[in-house]
Amino acid sequence: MTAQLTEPRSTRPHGAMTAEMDRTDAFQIPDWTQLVSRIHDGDPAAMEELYGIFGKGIRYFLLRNLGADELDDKVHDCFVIVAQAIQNGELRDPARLMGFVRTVVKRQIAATIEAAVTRRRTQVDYQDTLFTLTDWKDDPERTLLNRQRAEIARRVMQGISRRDREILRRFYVEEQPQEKICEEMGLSYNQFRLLKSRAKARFGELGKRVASGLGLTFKKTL
Amino acid sequence: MDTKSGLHQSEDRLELYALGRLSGPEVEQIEEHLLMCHSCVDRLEGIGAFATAVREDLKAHVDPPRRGWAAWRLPSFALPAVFATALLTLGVFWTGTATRLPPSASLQLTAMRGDMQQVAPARETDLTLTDPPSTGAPFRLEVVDASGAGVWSGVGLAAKIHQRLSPGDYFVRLFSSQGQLLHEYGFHVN
Repeated sequence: MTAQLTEPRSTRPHGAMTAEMDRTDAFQIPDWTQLVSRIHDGDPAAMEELYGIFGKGIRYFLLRNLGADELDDKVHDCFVIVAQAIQNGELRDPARLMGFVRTVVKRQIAATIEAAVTRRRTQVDYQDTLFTLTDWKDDPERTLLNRQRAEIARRVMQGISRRDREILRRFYVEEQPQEKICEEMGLSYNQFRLLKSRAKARFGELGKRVASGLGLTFKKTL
Repeated sequence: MDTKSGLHQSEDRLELYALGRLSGPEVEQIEEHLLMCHSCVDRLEGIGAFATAVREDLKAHVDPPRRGWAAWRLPSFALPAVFATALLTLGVFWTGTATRLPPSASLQLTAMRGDMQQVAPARETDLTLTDPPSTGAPFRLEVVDASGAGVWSGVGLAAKIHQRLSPGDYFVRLFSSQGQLLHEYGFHVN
């Protein structure tokens, strides 16, 4: 990957990069008041709509925070709590349904983590509770995916200049604000975004090749 | 169902969210959006994977210091002097800064249920198990962090970890000679 950075002629990036970097096109927000009213009235189709709207998002947050273990059950638990609250008239402001769902998911995550921490606090005799061992086992698929991503990242970083790595290091590792990086490294805002965008594109490209089984081999690390 | 329009999240905001750099109200706003926007969840997965992998790689692989032209123009006798000065500076820095941490911390782990033991951060940590099982020797110890990543392993009932442990929870696993997990102990580095 080349490390050449060119200043776009306009002050804003254009073309496909704009679509990728600034995705601000509109999407449709449901009428929460109507949906809540239908669920409150026991309309089964409304429950399906609720699941269709929030199912993927709830699954994402639970998976990200708790892992794949019993994921379907945890998603279902969240929906039961939300539906019961609506049917019992506990949701006072239907327009805040999103915030309520978020709170329910957060509480479920916190409760699950608290239960896990309590379970393994200080000393646990595994002769009595052997089943809890599974909590610590690595997920082989996730381990492989992480190893592949690490190798791809290594290749992407090897393909850019030392200066570009320094820029990315400042942003991703040292957590410097982009304004500070641009000022100290003599970059425009667009150059900074272009560098990140190119590295991401290369990362995605190599990831697709790995996913389709093409042309990448990885060092054995075990 | 009636709908109204909203806006998707920008790439920059999704990336800052993935890196955990947004403020509380910003997190709340973006998470509410992510709960109902499948498109942004898909984009976040890609952005998060990239940001995390690159951050880990950059942490793990530090570029060696650049050899500038000045290094080659120094007279040969200057190099030992530079080296000695650097050592002296390092020594001053080490005694002035690094020793803010105690050289070692000791922790005795006992098989009793209760709150997790706390230990102050130190350059080295000594762990001793005070009540080993009566059978199963020789024992093997394994120390892992809260994510399950290995920190130390060895044979015996004591561990001397020659590295500074980051703040967080750690778990000490005691295995029998047959590899059977006998006990797990926890401690917390402040």
